[in-house]
Amino acid sequence: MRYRKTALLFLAPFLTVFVAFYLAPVLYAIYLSLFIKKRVGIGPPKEVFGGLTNYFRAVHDTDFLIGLKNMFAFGIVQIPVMLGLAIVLALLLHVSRGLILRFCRTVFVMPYTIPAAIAALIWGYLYSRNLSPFNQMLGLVGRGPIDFISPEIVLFSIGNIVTWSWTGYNMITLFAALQNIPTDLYEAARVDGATELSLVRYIKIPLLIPTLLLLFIFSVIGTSQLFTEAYVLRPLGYVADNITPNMYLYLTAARDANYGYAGALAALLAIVVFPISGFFLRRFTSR
Amino acid sequence: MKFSQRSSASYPHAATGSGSLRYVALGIFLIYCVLPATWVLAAITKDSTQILTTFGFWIAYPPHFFENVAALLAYRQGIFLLWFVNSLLYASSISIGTTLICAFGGYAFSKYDFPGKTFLFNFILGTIMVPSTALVLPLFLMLNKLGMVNTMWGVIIPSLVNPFGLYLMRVFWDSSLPNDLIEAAGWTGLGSSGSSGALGCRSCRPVS
Amino acid sequence: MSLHPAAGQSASEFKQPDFSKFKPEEGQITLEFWSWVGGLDQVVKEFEQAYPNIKVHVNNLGGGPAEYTKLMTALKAGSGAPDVVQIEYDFLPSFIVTEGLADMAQYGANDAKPYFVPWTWGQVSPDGKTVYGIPQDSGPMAMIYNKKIFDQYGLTVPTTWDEYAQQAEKLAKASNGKVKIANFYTTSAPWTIGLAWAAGGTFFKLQGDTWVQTLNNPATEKVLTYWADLVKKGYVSTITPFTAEWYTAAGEGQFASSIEAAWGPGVIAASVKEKTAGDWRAAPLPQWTKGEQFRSGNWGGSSDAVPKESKHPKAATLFAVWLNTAKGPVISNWLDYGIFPASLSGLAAPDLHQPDKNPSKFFGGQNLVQVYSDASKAVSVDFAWSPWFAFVNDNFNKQVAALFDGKMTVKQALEAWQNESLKNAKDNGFDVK
Repeated sequence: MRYRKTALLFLAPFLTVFVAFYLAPVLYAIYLSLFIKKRVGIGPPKEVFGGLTNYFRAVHDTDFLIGLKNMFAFGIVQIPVMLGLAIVLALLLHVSRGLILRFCRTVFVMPYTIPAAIAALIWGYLYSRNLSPFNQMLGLVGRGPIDFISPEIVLFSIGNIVTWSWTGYNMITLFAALQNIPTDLYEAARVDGATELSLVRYIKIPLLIPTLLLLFIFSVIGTSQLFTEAYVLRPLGYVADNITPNMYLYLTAARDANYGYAGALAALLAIVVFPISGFFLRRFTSR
Repeated sequence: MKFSQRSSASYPHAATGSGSLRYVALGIFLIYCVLPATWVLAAITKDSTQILTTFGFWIAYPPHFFENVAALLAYRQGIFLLWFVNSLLYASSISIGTTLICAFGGYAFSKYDFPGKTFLFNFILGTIMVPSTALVLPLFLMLNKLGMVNTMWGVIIPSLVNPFGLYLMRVFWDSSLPNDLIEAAGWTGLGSSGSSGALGCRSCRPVS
Repeated sequence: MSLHPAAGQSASEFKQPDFSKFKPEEGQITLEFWSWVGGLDQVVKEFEQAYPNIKVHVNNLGGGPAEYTKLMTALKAGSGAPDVVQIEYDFLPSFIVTEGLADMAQYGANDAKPYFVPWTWGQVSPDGKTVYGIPQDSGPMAMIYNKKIFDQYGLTVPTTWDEYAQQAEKLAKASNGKVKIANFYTTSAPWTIGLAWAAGGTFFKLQGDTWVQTLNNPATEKVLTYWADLVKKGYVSTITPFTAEWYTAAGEGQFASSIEAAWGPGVIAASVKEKTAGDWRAAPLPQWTKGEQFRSGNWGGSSDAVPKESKHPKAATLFAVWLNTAKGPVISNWLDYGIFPASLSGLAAPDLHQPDKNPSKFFGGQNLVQVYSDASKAVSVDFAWSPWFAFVNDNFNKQVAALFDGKMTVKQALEAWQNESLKNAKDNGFDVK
């Protein structure tokens, strides 16, 4: 009895804000998703209860499905590249010392400190046809400018921005994990005649796997919520409405004022991401 | 002495071959990180024609740095400074607030048992997966009803919700404050909250 | 038939409505005004002096869609909307159907009707009785060209689109492809629609309670095919308008002409500043067939509306009417920002044409007002916009991108534009075919 009351006391602040400003909007969004718009003549739309109509429509919506496909394609390429880079850099830093270590550590994390919208703006300039130094340099050697926003490579361009922003953060987390590895392990291995490379292979990487899993889960969730970078690039040229499901969702709500459908899309998006994160989260917490 | 021996054994100078490779790799990534910042710094010195006619990564001559800064500060009667101060305000209040709320909440999950504890914890973590853009409108409508739109609180309070922070804090409390310590404190006659408060605050100070 | 106001307006007389008929509310009032017209802070000072109990706070939320998203959300939420808000004619129906805009007729707005160009009034008052906004400006289209470049390469000013294409080819050969004849705006549906409007195209029609949408009409096909051809041949570039890139390209003489609305010259003059100043001229829009009646289209143009949420609708109506009919703001908005007035007195005012000030100065002192007035008279007046125009606007970008990527033909692009917009309209509950 005594235990429970104090627990509630400690939990109260978090739960209050959580329920009021997180849970309530989620439930409200789901509630809204059960309504569809019906218009009579040129009056304002009436919100009519449509049950699961919005969900039905979403599941058959090719634009939404293509958005999901983009999200998967993006994740399959970008997440391994970013985490791979992060591991390599963390390992390299781990055997560095002194000034190099401190300098690199600070600079690598710097992109993470830049807000996503600003990063996207800066890279947007670097991607623009006439303003970009890359295109300037290409122009000097006589090649035509690359359109970084063209549908073929726009996902790579966005992927580049995300990688640039987040590799440092992932690296520093892995680096901290590396530092937590007790050094006696290295000693023992060296006594057994291990080389530097096998230290990495048999000690460092295996012990990094829990951290890696965690970072992977967050990357998956982050990928599913990809919005800012794509949205900021829109004024530069044509970026598809459904380049990411989150952007498609936003435009449905903000531009088309179709909040019911947006709610359904959000719920479906969460449902799609849930099993993926859940699967890896379970593997992680079972360790 | 033995310690320094051990550390140098754990972090040996790599053989020269892999050493230079390491520097090259680090150097490339360094350039990659800094590149966009270089462009921005160079662009600060340019006016609108130089932006297109000069090389992106180098400053322009004659530089227009001071004109640009002056224009920024004069924009809409100096509203930029106001925005900057606001950002500082939000950043500090939200980070302090979130840390406190999550610290308390994490402690509860870590040190106490109550029915539905696992379910509640997993549920809270699960909500991380909801796309935030879907929440924007319902949140706006709610804040509207509460009259919090266009106020500071409307920005600060919803941002205090940080399920991930809760998770981190629970992990922290799990590892840094063993339950036996609490029991020991309990024997000295402090109530549950008293002992938690005393021990908790002491150990969590370095972390937050 | 002259568009000019009550004949007999002498040079010194500027007809304005009787503002005393618009009585604002009592007490200290602050009006929140959302608009992206530049320099309004200065303009509203004149109003605040005339009405000391009213303060006007101007907020620039960014042009067009950026502001519309916020307005739409505020109207839906029932609070957060300003007292006066700038809405372009093509987006006005989207807001009218939300029933969030006040009917300004109840605050006396119809008294202002005689002071405006008739078709602009038609845009804000579709049924002739309710008034959803006060017209601010219009955007009749004409051709502007860089005379210096034309002279340099021996080009003549074209009067038909065939001639225009010929000059384009001539320019490309003479300059070795370095100077383009113009830009095609791949992300501006209203620009293409404006040109199709000039070619006789109709896009949206309300028949009773049902809408009819014909985005793929023959006029649009003609226009799009023409420009796609020029872009493919490399005579026309596709720089996004009103960006730093575009202004610099204009200043560096990278393109020789542009099809611009009446508000274009002012914006260009204000942004390009010194380079090529004085080199530009305006000429009537090229026509499709020589000898036929001169036709032009309209690109843009806004009105100022009053949301129902406003606590001071009378003061708001007064301000909206004042801003768009009083001599001070009408003249200065043109001189400073190229807002081509919808006000008849504004159009007739000799003060409007000042050869030694921008925008006229940027155009070598030419009387731009005359060119654009003539264009304005040639704009067909029965043109309606649909409430789902926001989607149509964005979808255009998608089809054009695919078109220039070589993935679709003009016909296919137009079909896709028509079908996808139709589907979206239906999904949003509209009765449309």
